[in-house]
Amino acid sequence: MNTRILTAQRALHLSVLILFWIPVIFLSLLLVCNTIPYFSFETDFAFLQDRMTLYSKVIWRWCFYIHIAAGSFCILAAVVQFSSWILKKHKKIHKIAGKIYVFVVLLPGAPTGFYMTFFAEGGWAERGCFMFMAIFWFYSTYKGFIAAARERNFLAHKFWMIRSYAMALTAVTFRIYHIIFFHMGMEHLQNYSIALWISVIGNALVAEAIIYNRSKNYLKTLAV
Amino acid sequence: MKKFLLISTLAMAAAGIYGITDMSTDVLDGTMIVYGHADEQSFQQTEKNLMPIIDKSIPMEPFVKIPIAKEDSAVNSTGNAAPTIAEVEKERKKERKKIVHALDNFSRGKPRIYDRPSPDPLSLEAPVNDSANASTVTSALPKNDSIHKISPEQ
Repeated sequence: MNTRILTAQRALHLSVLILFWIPVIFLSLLLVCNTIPYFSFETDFAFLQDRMTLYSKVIWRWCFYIHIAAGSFCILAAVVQFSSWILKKHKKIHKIAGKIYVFVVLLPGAPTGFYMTFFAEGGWAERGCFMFMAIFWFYSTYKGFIAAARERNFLAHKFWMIRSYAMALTAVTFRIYHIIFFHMGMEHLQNYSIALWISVIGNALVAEAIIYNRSKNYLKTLAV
Repeated sequence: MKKFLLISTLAMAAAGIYGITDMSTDVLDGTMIVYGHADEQSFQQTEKNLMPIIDKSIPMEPFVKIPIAKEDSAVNSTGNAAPTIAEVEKERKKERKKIVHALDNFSRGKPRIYDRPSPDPLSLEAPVNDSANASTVTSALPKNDSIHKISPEQ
């Protein structure tokens, strides 16, 4: 192939990566920074003020703190996991961070989130969406871990982990949509519902699109 | 690895079961908050069911223990100013507002609980025959009108 076309393809690939990862990393860090003040265990936050009846439940309170800690960690850990440089040059870091990610999602992250979905803001449809998200987050992480640790199927591992990260990233995308709709002047509950559904379904579709694209490339290499 | 996967699956199942149980208890009690999506009738019913919980959440003890002066100029036995009824009332309203704020999402777009002309359970003018109200509210007033300094323990 012409070297100019190859260079152009590489440049395009690199710019897509930069355009995707820089906002994702920035917004993930912003989300984590916003979570830190909650660990003062004060209740002067609008989110908690709206949920004082729930906050009085000890289990909900514990689930909330564990979930936000686990969620912050997962979002940050996943950024390291998708670096191909770390995967090629420092496999040990990928393995250790991956094990911690799996542990945090499967044990405290998803179960606490799942419990909280029963009391989430919104109607039954929104709660159902949260439930789907928690279950799918758990299931995709579980499958991804099994694929790597037991079956040694690293392609399946990669695909399941993309799905898992897509679910973890809904915390970020939801806030982006929520802010956009807020500036569009949408009413709060309507904004909340639409932002939630778009973030969950949208992230799942983007993950499937990436997987489809990757598997297409993989099938091409097999066909040669 | 097997143990870990088993434990995590059990944790997830336990979270689901506990969540359903907890939620159904709230549904049966009529205290389940369905933010903004409930119809007016169920909204009013939930609000009615939640009121006792809100009242319980308000710390009444400090008010019960604090002896109150009946006039602004009143002083206690040691010469220091004691909180007046107006001050205690103001403090009480502040506390109540905090709790009611928890229902903001629930009552969004609808008249708020504290805007409604419903009988105020925290009102100092408790019904004479209502022993429950009288014990919690009117006990804030000293029977012999004696005025004391509020100790730090109180």
